[in-house]
Amino acid sequence: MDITRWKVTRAAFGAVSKLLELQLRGDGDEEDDDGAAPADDAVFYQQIGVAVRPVVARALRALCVEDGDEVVALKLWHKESSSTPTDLAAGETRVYAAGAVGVVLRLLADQAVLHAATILLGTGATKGVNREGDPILPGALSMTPSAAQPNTPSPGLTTVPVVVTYTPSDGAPQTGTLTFVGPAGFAISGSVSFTLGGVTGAGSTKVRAVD
Amino acid sequence: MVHEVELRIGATRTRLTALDEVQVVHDMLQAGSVATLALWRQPGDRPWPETELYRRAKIFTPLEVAIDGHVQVRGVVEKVRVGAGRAGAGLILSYRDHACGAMVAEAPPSLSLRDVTLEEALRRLVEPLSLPLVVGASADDARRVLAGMRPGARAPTGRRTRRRHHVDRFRVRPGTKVWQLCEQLCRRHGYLLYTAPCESGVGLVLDRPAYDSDVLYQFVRRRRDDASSESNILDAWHELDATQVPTSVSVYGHASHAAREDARHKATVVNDRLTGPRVEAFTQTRPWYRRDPKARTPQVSTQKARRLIAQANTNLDVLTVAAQGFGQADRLYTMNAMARVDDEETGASGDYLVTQVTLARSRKGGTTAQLRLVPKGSLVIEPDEGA
Repeated sequence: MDITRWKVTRAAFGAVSKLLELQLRGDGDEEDDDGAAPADDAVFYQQIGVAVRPVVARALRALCVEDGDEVVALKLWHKESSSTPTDLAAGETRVYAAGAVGVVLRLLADQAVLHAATILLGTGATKGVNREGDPILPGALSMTPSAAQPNTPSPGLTTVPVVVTYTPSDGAPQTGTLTFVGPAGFAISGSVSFTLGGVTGAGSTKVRAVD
Repeated sequence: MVHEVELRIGATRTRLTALDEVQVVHDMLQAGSVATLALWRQPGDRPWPETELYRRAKIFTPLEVAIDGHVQVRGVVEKVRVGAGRAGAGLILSYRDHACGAMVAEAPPSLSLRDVTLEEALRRLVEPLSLPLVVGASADDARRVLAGMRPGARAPTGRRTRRRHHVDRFRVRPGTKVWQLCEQLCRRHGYLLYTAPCESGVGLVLDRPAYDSDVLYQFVRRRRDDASSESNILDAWHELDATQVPTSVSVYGHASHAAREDARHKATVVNDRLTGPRVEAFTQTRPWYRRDPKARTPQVSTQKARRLIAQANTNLDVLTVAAQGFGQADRLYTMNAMARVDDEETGASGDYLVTQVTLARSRKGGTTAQLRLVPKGSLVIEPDEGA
């Protein structure tokens, strides 16, 4: 049983075989696919638990065995440097996207690192994940004194209600009233309004995210 | 009967009849047998390199060998041996018919043979070699030419099916001889492949054992009541050989890689030829086990097993006969023809198929023919299921 290298010219999953079916070109001149040995219905056996659909490009190759009149691909690889990572650390295991070498899960000795332009936790995920030091949006707080009024039942005193309003960032305002009672002529002037803020505190020591 | 053997050599087909030794071989089971021609000169005669014949007899020089005017071989010189010794000075030419080019050449792996007819596949294999081969030559015509029957005479061989079978899938691996691929394809479809001269060159003949054809030859060796003998056999040996014959064959196979399910299968076939009056009842077993990567269905596995048994049985029962002359009743001996044998000395009796003919002439041996025969029906060609 020969082990041979082939150029991959087409790749698509077979509805019947459930395998990645390949069109391959073998013995012949590199620039002459039409004149090369053909294998138009080869299959690629992927490791169970891992599935890949490669981007067919000039340098995509298959390592095959010839089983009777059939050709079976055991491995696929791509020698163009931009398509195959070579900067692994000692002991590292890396899983990367066949069409984008920068999308990668790196399993290192003391950490697991996931790189991608976007990382979705769950299908259709849209909400951002907060990290240590991300701003919080607690809302706004205001205190506004109302006009002074003679106190009831002590008209010699003065009542000044102060309306306290808390408006959360995602909800309806909540209002309460503080009542100040003072001597005649007592008044409260001015009002205050705070936009509350802050950041999240220290998060997990195990799971880290980039800024 | 006196037979005239003529060598026609070179592009001009220069004729030469004074041949000291000549040999012609026809074999329906193994094409490409090398045959030889030899000429000897006495010591003191002009050396061979100074002769016109030597100058003509180069490697790849075309030649024809005809017997009684009927071309038996049309081919090329492949070996030239010249020398001198105590026996004299010899010029020995070894030759094969034009198909020998296909036995040396290898097929390109870029060749696609899928979804074409069997004849078209053979054509694609041999055409690039620029050999004068006629693909699908008529077996009847080949037999007529070789046997030296008169033109137009119909060789009584029965109907032959046309070869429109389709080649399903066939990969060409580097290093595979063209002839080997042609034979594999033909056997897959239930045909023997051999060569024979035809009008325009050499025919690639797809044929089956001609069991239903008329008997052309008779071989008799009997003692008469008066102690004399009636015989046209010089020498005959009947050999039963089970040294390489299995009692059963099991073939393991697997569904195609692209099938819906992965399914293994196994087929076992018992060799039913190991019975008969000349075979002792045998309780031992001699099974064979094979895995065949091309056996993608249980039916193909069964056919493979049958084919292996048939191949192993090829030498199980063989009669070798040597006779005077090159033929009988104005017919030269030819392969894939039927002969009736009645030989008291070997016990061989009945109809036999001629699988190989060697016609030889030499000063020492005279003009003789040696034939290899097998019992009628014993040679079986098993096609692939569905082929």
